[in-house]
Amino acid sequence: MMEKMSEENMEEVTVLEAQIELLQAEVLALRRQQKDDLKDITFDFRGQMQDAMSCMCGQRRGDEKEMVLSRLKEVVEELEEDLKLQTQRNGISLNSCTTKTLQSSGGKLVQQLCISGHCSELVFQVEFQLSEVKEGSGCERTISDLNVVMDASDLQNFSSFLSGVEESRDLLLFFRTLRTFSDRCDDRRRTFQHFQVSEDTPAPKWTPPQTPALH
Amino acid sequence: MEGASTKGVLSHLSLLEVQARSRKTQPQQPSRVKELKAKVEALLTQRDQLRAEIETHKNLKKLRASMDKWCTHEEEEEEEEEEEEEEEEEEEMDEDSENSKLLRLMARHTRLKDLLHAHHVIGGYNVIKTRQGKGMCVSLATAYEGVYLETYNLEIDLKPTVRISRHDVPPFIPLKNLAEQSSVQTDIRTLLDPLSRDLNAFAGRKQQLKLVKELHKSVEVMESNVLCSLLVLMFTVPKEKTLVLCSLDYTDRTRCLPTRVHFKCDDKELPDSPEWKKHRSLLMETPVHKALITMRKMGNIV
Repeated sequence: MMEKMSEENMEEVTVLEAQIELLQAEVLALRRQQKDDLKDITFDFRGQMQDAMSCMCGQRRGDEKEMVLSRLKEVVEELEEDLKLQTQRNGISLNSCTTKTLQSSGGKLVQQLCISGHCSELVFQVEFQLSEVKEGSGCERTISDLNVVMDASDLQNFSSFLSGVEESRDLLLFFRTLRTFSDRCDDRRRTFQHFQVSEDTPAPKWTPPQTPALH
Repeated sequence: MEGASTKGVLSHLSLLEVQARSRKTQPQQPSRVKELKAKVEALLTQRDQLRAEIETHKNLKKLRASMDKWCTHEEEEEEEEEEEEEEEEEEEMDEDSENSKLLRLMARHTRLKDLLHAHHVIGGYNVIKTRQGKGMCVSLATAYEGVYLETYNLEIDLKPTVRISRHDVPPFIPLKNLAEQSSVQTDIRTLLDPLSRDLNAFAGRKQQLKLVKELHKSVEVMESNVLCSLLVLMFTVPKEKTLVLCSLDYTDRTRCLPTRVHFKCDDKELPDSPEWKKHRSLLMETPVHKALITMRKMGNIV
């Protein structure tokens, strides 16, 4: 009877070992997929975001969820305030920033960024590669492959500036110049409006010279 | 008859006894199987966790993509306010709507983080309010030819008047003058924008000097100053080994290019030769480290 039982056990062991192998392969594949998924978008899963993530994956109880919800709301509202401040102080409104991670190994991180927004009436979109390489205690950041697109309607003189900026990869110069140019456009518009004849002022009429009555 | 029934009962009893004993000594599941079953459980949990995470990431990406496409900040806030009003009317929130609210907050979080990072990357001033709004910290980023260089910082008092309290701007940058010429009390950008321009021009000139030293070892740097507004280089002409002294004046501190280029040489005719006239225009219009590459290609310097 002992022999019969150990045979059964051996069968069970084999079945279990096979199951483990399958599961391990599945977990490996899922991990790879997750890594790939995270390349298209940057998720900072620390602090409140990590708690929120565990909630979404069913790891937290209902009452804990409420707390995570309210804490995350606070954090998001702080970030909103911060963004308002930066927008106001930088004089630039950003609509979107998408990040794709192209390489993340050793001490090197290469990302493709696409940023769009407007500066007063001027709409822009910039796309570039940003490399961050750890060097000693610091980090060297470099921009390459800069591409700048602007709503070209009234910006003929800008096009040569834009190609110059793309060639020298001077992203910061682009935004400094954009702001200055936009400030001047705003000044000009305000000056125009100041001197503009209002709609209430009657338009001068041209009256033809009176012909003398013929008697 | 008694003997037979007693025997029957006795043997039945002893059979039961043997069975009981054998049940006690029957081995539990071998520990190996137990171990493996535990491992399977652990792997199943891991797999389910990963599946849930991947699903959440997928939903987050979708939500985020639609936010990026359709929302400006104002619209987003209006939407959130509307949602909140609706929820206050509901007493209980079921799990589904809690999850969707959480997901929405998570998507907003990633979007806001990315936008804030973008402000930083494009050279924004990284404004931080301090002392309950009585003060402010500002960073000025510099970059040249796609390489981010030094960052300079200002600590500013906002009350009672706007005043720079601390900074690490180098002394040869006329910060005080720029502040006086600006309308810093009403709009701090009237100081920050010109200051940023000056700092970036300085960083550019400094970087050019660094690159000349790195890339053109055959060119000797005779003189330079801290503001990098003056550069004197010594060229060697290949064939005759004539020496040419080249001075570059950068009197416009808002620019990275020189305002004046001058050659001095024992051969008095060289500076006026057509080739060297070309070099003068080249040095006026091109960053010096790049101009030197061209000059070497043209065979006029070693």
